[in-house]
Amino acid sequence: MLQKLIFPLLLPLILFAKESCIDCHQEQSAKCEKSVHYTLSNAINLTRKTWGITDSNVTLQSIPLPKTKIEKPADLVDDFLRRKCLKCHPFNRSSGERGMKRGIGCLSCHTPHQPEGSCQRSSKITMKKCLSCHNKGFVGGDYQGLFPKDHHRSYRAPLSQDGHFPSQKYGIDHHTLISDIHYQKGLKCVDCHKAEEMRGDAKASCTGCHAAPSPTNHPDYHTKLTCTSCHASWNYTAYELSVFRDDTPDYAKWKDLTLQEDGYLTNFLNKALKAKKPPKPRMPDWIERKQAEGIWYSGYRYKRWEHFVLANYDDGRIGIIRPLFQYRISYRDRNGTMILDDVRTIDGKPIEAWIPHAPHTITKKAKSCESCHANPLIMQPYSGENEVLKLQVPQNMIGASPLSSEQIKRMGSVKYKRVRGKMLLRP
Amino acid sequence: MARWVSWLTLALFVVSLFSGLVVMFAYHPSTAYESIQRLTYLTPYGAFFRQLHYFSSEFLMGMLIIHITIELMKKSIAMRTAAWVYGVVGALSVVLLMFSGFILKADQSANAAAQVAFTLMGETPLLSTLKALIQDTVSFYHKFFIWHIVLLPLLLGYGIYRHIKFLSPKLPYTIIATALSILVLLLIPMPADIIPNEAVKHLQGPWFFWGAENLLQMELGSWMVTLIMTIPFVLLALIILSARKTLLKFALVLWTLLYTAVSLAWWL
Amino acid sequence: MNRKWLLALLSLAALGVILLGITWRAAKPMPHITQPDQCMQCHSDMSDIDHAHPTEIFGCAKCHGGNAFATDKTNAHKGIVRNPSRLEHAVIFCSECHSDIIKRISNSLMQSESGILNVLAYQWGESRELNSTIGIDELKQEFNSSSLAQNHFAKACAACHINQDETVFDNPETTRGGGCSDCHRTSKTKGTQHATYTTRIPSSNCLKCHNRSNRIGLSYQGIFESEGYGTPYKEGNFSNQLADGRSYYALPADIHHAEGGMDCIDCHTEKGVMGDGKKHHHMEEAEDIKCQDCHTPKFAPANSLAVTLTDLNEKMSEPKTIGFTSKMNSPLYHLRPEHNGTTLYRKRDGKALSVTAMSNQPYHSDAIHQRLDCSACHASWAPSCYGCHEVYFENGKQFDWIQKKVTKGEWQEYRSFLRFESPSLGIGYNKKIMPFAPGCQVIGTLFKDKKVEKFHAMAMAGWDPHTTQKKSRTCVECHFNPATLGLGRGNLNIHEGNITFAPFFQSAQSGMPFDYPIDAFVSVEGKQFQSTSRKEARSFNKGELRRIVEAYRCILCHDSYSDPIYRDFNHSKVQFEKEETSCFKN
Repeated sequence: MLQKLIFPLLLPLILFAKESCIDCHQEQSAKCEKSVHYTLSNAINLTRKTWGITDSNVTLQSIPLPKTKIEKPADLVDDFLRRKCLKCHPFNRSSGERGMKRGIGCLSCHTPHQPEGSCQRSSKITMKKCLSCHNKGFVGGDYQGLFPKDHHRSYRAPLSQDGHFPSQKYGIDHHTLISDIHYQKGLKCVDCHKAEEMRGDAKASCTGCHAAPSPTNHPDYHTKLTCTSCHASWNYTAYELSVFRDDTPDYAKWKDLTLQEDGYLTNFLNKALKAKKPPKPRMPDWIERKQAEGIWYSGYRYKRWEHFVLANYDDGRIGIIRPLFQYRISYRDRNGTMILDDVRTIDGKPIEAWIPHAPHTITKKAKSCESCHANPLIMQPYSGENEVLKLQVPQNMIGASPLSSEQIKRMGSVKYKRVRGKMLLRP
Repeated sequence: MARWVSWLTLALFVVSLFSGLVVMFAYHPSTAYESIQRLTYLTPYGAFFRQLHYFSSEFLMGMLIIHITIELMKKSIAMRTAAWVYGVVGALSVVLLMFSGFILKADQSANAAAQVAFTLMGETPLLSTLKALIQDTVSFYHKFFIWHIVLLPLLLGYGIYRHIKFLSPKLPYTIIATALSILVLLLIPMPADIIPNEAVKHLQGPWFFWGAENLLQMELGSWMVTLIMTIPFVLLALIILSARKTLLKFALVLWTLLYTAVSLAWWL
Repeated sequence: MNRKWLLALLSLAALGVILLGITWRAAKPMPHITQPDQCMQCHSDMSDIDHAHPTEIFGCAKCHGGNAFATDKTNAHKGIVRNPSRLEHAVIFCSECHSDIIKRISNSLMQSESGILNVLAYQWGESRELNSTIGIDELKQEFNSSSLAQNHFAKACAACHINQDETVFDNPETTRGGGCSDCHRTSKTKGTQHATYTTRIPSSNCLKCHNRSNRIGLSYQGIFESEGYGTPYKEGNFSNQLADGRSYYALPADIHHAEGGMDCIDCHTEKGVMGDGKKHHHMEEAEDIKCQDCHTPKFAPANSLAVTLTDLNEKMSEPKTIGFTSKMNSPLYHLRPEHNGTTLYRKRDGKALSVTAMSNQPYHSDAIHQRLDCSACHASWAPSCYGCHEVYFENGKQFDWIQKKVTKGEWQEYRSFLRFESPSLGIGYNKKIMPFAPGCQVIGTLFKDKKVEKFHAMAMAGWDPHTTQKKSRTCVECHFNPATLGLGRGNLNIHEGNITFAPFFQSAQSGMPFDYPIDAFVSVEGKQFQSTSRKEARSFNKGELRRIVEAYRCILCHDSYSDPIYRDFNHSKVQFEKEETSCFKN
């Protein structure tokens, strides 16, 4: 649509130099345009598929305009993406949160330099640039050990020594958990995630720097496991994301929930709750760059850092998966009619996607064997099928499938007990 | 002068006596409070006779004070010593009748008043030995009842007889006394009983003993207060015996003024 | 003489008129006398409060005061009492029959809340001892305005006591107090329907108060007070909210509730609840019931109290042989031995429930687990609220529940995060191992004039969370789960013979004024980080931690209680030390 025409035109307009990056960096630009950072096709299509558009294959540039007549989640997903998720793209400078400002286009990651080739600044990409999108619950925040707190006003603690409430970064305040060992050693994002990956050629892998794991610590029965399965210490998992688009001006009930990890929403609610006359509910479409009707609210059921679920990746490895997300969708139109009221299934299947996930919380020492072998939660976290949270196997894995009963049985096999027993008995 | 005052006083005593006879039949000293309430609310015309008895007695007290004042204002006392002294005895028995009547209504203030009486008597020398004459271990109001319906009326009757040589009032005055009492009871309500579990900030006794209550609050000591209360009667009796009548009358007036002032000292 | 007779005649005439007036005024019919008191003149259609206090025998004035003889409203209602079940009125109106109970309840912890105040003052450093019995009634007389603990108690805790004034609450759904009515009343007076009272107290009455602090009433019903998201959104509104606006989600309820439908009173006896008359310091001293009282019952012939209670209950047959509590010998009149085992008759409706006797299986009888309280294994989850951030504004204003008016000083409460899974264990008030959770981890900020003062008092408390399940926690969940051991969440391992633990939470970097992880009761070396609410309560020590974790080395393969090595575990350990066991033969 319009994006295909405008964005390439925007690029030269934004740079203060007369030339644009493309003039010299044609090859890189061409490759970049196919990369996921440009198209965001993975996140967009994952969400659209989860919401019922099974053959979704669009990009940031080709995502349809939101539908006007809404009957099912599939009609609403584009609006949801444009207004909630896709504020993080290379052509949006900011969405109101501290720490989430970036340049436009190439500058969203790279730093400009004089055309003659002398670098005014290092062209190395700083962590700040990556973190302007890759923060909170998405991989990036966890690298520094940051875990976003719960939304409710009662979580705005502890106060500082001189009595200040904690400040928000990326739209919410954070707990600090143990950070990734690579972060502790001073490595930045780009030290592992190199240019080839950004352009869509290769993927970062541990073996890129680390020698093949020693057989003593990494016996043959564990060769299929991803490194993070054992070496990731904690893992951001957020259960049941309820999203609610409200086209009516009903703000009072959100007074204790103004922080929803969405800077625009926080500013809007703070103003709306004080206003004598409640403003119309409007929120920007971050692609079209203009206000659209309705406000998207969101809330989780609960968050954890100590859970993790293992599954068979489609590429044959075994690794961690996590929900991104388990949706419960509501939509109230401007007349107050609930068009969608807490919809959680499409044709009987829950609207959820469990996807492979590599937590960036690596520790040198791996987890104990028991963390997987004696942990029922690795297969079944508490989840709300009924209203009573019970342990159950995740549904709807994308890019993975559940561990088979054979595999689970093997985890408690005599062989395992012998091997582990030896480790425990004779130090 | 004003002979009619003394006649009215006598008539009021008779009205009080007869209305008291009626009320007496309804009164049960062992269940005093209940019997009074039953009389007031549930007995046909019970409230009427109770109020008649109350107002005629209050009138009697008032008239008595006026009668004494008038007699004292006269230059000379045209009465023998004994007759005068019996008059004082009559006055004292009226006060005691009023007090025992107050106690017999058996509400919270009556109970409190009785307790004060026990304490006063108990702490006063001489009188402490007589405490058993009003205090009963089995039925609280029993002895007060006997004093009020038998002993004190008899004493008053004898006192009046020895005071004026006859007992029966003149009919016109009796009619006037009855009529006035009934008129008042139709116009003014009787002070309400303070029922057992009513929360009241301050319980008070009969109006003529407010001064005594306040004196007790001033922590003078029970026997001192008893002494102060007997002063008017002693003075009255002395007036006929002593030559210094003017001085005694002056002392009596002074006592009355002081007692009134203490009675009205609301801050105590 | 003539004048007098004229006056007399006039008076007679006047008297005649007056008498006419009287007769006219008094010409109402004979006073209609009602039984049992004159209140019935207007209130004869008032319904009974229960079958033990019929209106036709008691009347109104016997309980409500007022003038039982008066026939007009003003006089009849003088000194009348709206709620005679308030303790100060009950002492006057009910003592004729219930003097024993009124004395007991007036001294009970549910009226004084002295345990709460004492532990608070102790944890906040204002008191050295845990033996104070100063409670709400004392604070009403004498309030120490310089005590922060008393200030906090008055504003945040004192709303809940038996004799609280019901009129100070503005939300009818969260109203509590009222003396005996607090527990015994099942409906409020409406028109001619008098408030009803019962001894079959519904659990909802208990939950009016027992839904805060350690959330016992909520947990029993499977309600977990949650993070406050208000999700899932239903009809465009928050759902799953309690009457006071707190959010919750449902977790598996206590089996006594889920399967038995039992109410609080089916376990908690009248002596345990109303007190035995003594002023106790802590809840466990006042409490009567124990798990064993039903699950390994001791039966005896019913006593007169049992007969009275059964009669009042109206839902079950006459008691012949019944259970008794081991601590205070209270009759469990609804617990009867039948030929096929023990039956518990639910007090609410008399339904027969068959009681599972505590088995003699090794997991109950083996010496290795004698120190465990029932709840250590059978409590499936416990609400754990980490980090209670109290913020005090000295110049703010807040409602004081003791003085019942707004006074100076305002408290706001914030929290760090919640958990319910894998409750920590520790040694509790009965010297046995039981679940522990934050109680309370206070991190305080005091805004006083221009200054900001900080203090913190971190404590963990042990109790039975009332989330009992039939199936106990698994061996590994205690023996090799760092959260259960009290270490906090992190990576626990045995490496080269050493027990290692790497915690996740970084307290200092998260802004806490201490450096141990906020969810750590104890360090892996056995250093107890946080205090407790009893002198005898504590975390596992170094030796205990080592023994528990090392036992896992056996549990890995010997994962059944009936495994012979557990019969005499000390002997098995000795053989193991000598490497004579088959473990070493491969």
